[in-house]
Order: sequence, then C-alpha cells, then structure tokens
Amino acid sequence: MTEARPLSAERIDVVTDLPLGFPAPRTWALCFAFALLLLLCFAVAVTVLFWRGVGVFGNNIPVAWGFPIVNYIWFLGIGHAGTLISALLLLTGVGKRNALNRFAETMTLFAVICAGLYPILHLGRPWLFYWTAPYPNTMSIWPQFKSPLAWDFFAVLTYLVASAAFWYVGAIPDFARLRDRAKGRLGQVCYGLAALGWRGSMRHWRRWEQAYRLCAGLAVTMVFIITAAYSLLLGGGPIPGWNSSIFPPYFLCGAVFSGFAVVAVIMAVLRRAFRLDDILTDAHSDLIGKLLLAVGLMTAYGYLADIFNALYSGEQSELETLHDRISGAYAWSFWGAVICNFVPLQLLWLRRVRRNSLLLAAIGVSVAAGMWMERYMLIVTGLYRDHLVSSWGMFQASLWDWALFAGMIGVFLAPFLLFVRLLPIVSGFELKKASEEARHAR
Amino acid sequence: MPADRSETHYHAAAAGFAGPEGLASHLATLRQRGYRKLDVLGPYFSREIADGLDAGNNRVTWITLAGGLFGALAGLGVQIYANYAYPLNIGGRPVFAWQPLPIITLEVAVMSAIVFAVIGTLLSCRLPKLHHPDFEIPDFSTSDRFYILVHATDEQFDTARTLDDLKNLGAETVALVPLPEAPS
Repeated sequence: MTEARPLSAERIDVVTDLPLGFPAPRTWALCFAFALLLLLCFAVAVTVLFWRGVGVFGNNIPVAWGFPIVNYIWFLGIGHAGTLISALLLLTGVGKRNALNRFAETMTLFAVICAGLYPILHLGRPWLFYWTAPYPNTMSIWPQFKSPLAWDFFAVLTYLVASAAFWYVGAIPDFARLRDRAKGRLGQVCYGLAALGWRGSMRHWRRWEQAYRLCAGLAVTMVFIITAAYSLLLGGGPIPGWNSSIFPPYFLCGAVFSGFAVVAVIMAVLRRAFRLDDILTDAHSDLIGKLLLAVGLMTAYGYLADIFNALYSGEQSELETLHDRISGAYAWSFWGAVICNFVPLQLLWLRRVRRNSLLLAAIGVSVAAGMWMERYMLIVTGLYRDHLVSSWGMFQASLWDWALFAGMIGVFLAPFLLFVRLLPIVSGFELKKASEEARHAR
Repeated sequence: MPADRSETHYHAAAAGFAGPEGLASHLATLRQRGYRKLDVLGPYFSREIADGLDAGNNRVTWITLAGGLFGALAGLGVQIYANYAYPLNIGGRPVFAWQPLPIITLEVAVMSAIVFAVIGTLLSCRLPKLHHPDFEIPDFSTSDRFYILVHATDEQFDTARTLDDLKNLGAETVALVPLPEAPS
C-alpha cells in the first residue's frame, strides 16, 4: 500500500507551509475572481429579494417550499459528510484521516453557512429571523416548540457552532505551527493570534486530545440528531409521499452520500492543483470510493423502501404521489436522481476506478447532481398535487431562484478558496505524527 | 547575558530534541535526580511522554459532561417554560406534550457540551495567552522539535548543574530561558 511509506520531514514542511509560500497565486486569483463573481450574483439576488419580497421566487401555494428548502437540505446534507468522515475516522483510528479531515471539515463549515442562509432568506421578513430564537421580549411571545420549524433554528445553530468549534480545536496546533514557521511579521502576528498562545505542552496536548475526541463523538451523535430533526419536518406532516418513518435514516444516508461525493471532488482538485499525490494517495481515493458505494447502496435501499411503503399502504393518495414521481410532470427529477445517483456508482465496484481520483471525482459530480434532483423530487412532487384537485398547482423555478443558487455556490466557494490560500489544507501535526510513527514501525 | 543573574531571573532550562524517542526515559532520569517541575513541549501528542509527566486527569471529560447536562436542562427548560408562558392551541394538542421535547433538548445538549469542551480545555490550559516565557527558548519552534523544560521554581534547579544534567541526557541543544524583562 502506498500510504505506509513515511514522508520525509522536508516534504511535510513543504505541504504544511503551502500558505506561507503559495505555489500558484495566479490560478488561485483567477478562481477567487470567479468566486467573487458568484458572490456578486448572490448580493444582487438578495438585494432583489429584499426589495421585492419572496414573490421573486418560484415557490407559491401549493409548492410553498421550492428552491430554498431543496437547497437547504442539499447543502446541509453535504455538510454532514465532512463531520462524519472526520469524526468517524478519528474515533476508529484510521491513519488515512489526517490528510482528509481538514478540508472535509472546512467544507462542512461553509456548506452549513449556505444551508443556514436559505431558510432565513425565504422568510417573508428575513430581517426578523431572530424571532425564531427563544428570548424574553417585550411582545411576550415565544416560539412554537411543537412546530418542526422551531427545531430547524436549533438544528442549524447547533450544527454551525459545533462544527466551527470542532474545526477550530483541530486547527489550533496548525496555527501554532504556521506561527513558528512564518517569516513575515504579519503572518507571525495573525497566525499567532489564531493559535491562542498554543505552545505544545504535553499537559495541554493531553487535554486537547481528550477534548478533540469528545467533540468527535458528540459530532457524530449530532449528525444523527440533526438529520432526524429536519427529516421529521417532512415526515411529521400529513403530506402523501412524506409521511413515512423511513425518512430519518433515508435522509442521513442521502446526506452523507452527497457529502462524500463532494469530498471526492474536492480531493481530486486539491490533489491535482498542489501535486499532493503522496499525501492524498490512491488509497484515500479507494477509501472514499468504498464509502461512497456503501452509502449509495443504502440510499438506494431508501428509495426502494419508500416505494414499497407507498405500495404496501395501499392508500390512494400515496399511490398517486408515487405515480406522479415516476411518470408525472417532474418525472425527470425522479429518473435523473436514480440514474445520476446509482448508475455511474456501480463503476466503484472496480478497484481500478476507485483508485483513480479523476474518475471518482466525475462520479462525485454525478452524485452531487443526482442528490440535488432527489431533494427537488422529494419537495416538489410531494406538494404539487394535494388531496384536492382544486389545490393542485405547478412549480417553476424563477430566474432569481437560479441566481440565488449560483450566488450561494459563491458563498461556499469564496471562503473555501480563502481557506485554501491561508490555512494548511492538510493537518500538519497529524501528518507529522503519522509519518514518524510509520517510520518507527518499519 | 549578565553573569550575576541568579536563579530567580530564569524561567527554566530547556533541552531540545529532534524527536520524541527516549523522552519518557529522560523524564524518569530527571525525576530520579529530584526534579519535579518538568514539562515537555512538542509538535504532537505523545501518550508515553504525557504519562511520564503524570499529567493525566479527566477534567475535560467532566467539563464536557457538565456542559451536556447544562444544555439538556436549558433546552428542556426553555421549551417547557415557553409552552406554559405562551400556550398555543394547535389542533387541540395538550400544552405539555412530551413527544417533540427530545429533539431540541438533544440539540442544545450537544452544542453546549462541545462549547464547554472547547472553552474548558482552553481555560484549563490557561489559554489564550498573548505571550509565555516558554517562547523565549532560543530558536523556539514546536513545529519540529521537542523540548524538556526544568522550571526555575524547582527546588533542585541550579543553573550550572541543571544544564549539565540536561546535557547528559544527550540533548541537541541546551539553553537557559530568561524571564521576560518587566517593562520599566
């Protein structure tokens, strides 16, 4: 296996010092300019939204949720995988983790920010979003805690706070490393402040290790609780096609599935851009490929169980929703999801494909798109035909729906590119430790 | 460095090593010589060395547990309070319905436990700090070196003898770490 070969100390320094002597400033600047363009698109879309109100979106009665919730679930799902992959590999002691965890956790952080913005933006008066928080106020009103919409506030808040804390704790020793290695005064001061005075005392390390493992264990629990919370938001309602107890595990699998797919894409890009073939190895591709395949098959089981539930219930409305999904106006989203999610996925049975990071990334793109169509299918086909024919209606995404979606990709991309530029994309101290241990094991 | 400096002008004596090998036995040797106020700085965690410092305690675990319990109580409390302070009749559901309570309770418990773990760890390490005398070690870099420190407050600390003891361990570099000058 390639990953057992210990890296030389010089090589580790080169990799972890990437922010100090960035190898491709021009390419980076080009990518960042593109991200800023998307961010501008976001600013325009949000300005239009605030100026003219939520009517600029395509969602209306009966499809009241539309793009904002489709994208909310999609982004949140991507976020789950970063936490899960990092925390689970840490707790199970898989040595390959150290190259993957940092960018996976960063992906989580920014995906959750995008997810959190969506429900706020689709409120009628977004600037009053803080009314969903329980706090003593002059109106003496409190949130309705029996409503799943109040659960969302806590779900996103918890996810954001906890994933930021987990990420930061893991990064403190690397900030200290960069502080010690930075040549310029600005770098020393900025990284020094971020390192909070970390000096690597073994007494501190022991507490750090305890805290990090505890955070990881809690983060795994959190992923389960939060997918359960927002899938019950659908499952708890009387809407045909949603009212099913399969939703919490089905959503979890789908979430992690789409997230692993994005991890595969980011991994391939970083590996290529920074020539990290010895750090993000074929063995890492293999690991992600296996995980992607496993979670993908679980998601496929979710699809089957969902269809089975509808057939087994024998309820007219459930059967009609199933019929609408397979052959209705939005059948493209159902079949698109099935094809993009599960057809290219089958290539991952082949070891050669799993170990090819570019092919894996291509499958990742297909899965990310497929999972987006699945979220679309779930939301829109559930709502566009109700029990009553009189309340049927179609959904068509508007220009501003698409503009906001494109802009939201910028909200993800711009800070992620800053991360790539300013912080080590792999965890330097863990890489060093793993490499030393590999050297001693020989 | 002025020659008349007494022990009280130093923070510690530091011995630099390239790797963690043998540091645990070096610590044992220093302990045999009567040193008690020892510390090791390094780029990554080594369980063996931390055990040699007998730095073990589970304070962080307890702080995290306390955070989880606090969060659970807060999450549960605010829901129960709000249901009674602002009763809403939605579809005839009872004011106190336990079914939805676990979700927010668990969410807030996890959030609070993680926040307590992080803040508790930092505070128990007496961080954040803008500066620490350890940083005065010549060519300080925890990115690739390990240091054994004998603090000047140790009863056995003696500039010449302690440096000799550290040299005998086979350290690559040995140095006295001055206390930062007080601003005049």
